[in-house]
Amino acid sequence: MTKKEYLDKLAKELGSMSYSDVKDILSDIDNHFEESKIAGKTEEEAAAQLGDPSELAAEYKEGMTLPTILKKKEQKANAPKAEEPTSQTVAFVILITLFVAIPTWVTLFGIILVITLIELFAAAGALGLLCTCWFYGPFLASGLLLGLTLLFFSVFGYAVTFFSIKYFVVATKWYIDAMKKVWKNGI
Amino acid sequence: MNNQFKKGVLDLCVLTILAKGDSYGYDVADTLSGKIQMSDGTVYPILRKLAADGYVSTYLKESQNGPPRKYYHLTDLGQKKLTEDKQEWDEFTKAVKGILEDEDK
Repeated sequence: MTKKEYLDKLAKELGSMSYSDVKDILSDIDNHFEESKIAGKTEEEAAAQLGDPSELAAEYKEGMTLPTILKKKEQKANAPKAEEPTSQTVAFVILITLFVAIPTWVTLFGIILVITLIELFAAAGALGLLCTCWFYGPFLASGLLLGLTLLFFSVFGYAVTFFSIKYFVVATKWYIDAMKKVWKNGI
Repeated sequence: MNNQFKKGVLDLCVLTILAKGDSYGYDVADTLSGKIQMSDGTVYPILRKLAADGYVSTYLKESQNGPPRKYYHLTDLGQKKLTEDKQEWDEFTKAVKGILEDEDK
């Protein structure tokens, strides 16, 4: 069998494979004939040593149970994902943080600070009034009432402040985690 | 030797040859068929499969007196597979040998 006959037969047997696969395989076997020629073999000898072309085609088909393109896709899917954020993601995170998150954060922080200060004054006022009542009998009834009201107000206020700070911290943590997720996985 | 018998071991032989250094199809075929009775063609589907599975990578290199040669290079993954398969092969042949020697007695 000459080289041409061998390659023709092989191409025919590989029929069901994709064009690019067949082209690749024929080029490999063509090169083998060329190398054999350099080594001093005739085409007939090289063809005989290569073995029956239909057997060779069967061996190729056996190895390619999955089409090459599917295998490449599989490898891609299995490869670790690149953790490089896209420019869109970066812009999203920076813009949201700069123009929404930070102003909101500062405003809420300010409100909590003011409430805390008011509580402090109310507590001080309540303490002062109660002490005054203790020393000056005549104001007792009305002063005691005002003092107790202020004291109740300040205790209630402290409870409010405590929970505001707690949820403020929780919300801040949640925001940071959400942004981290966006940064890693995209929008 | 029977064909089915050889098939599983040839992958291991090809990986071993490539572990010694990069080589091209004809050279691998020549080396193997010089030692094992087989068709030269058989190494090509094996090399192709090894490349598709990522055990070897390929590159073209000019040759002095012929067409550019497609060289095959053992990847890290291929090196790992070679180590594992060789160990498995050693254990298997040892077991077979033990069985055959028992039969002889």
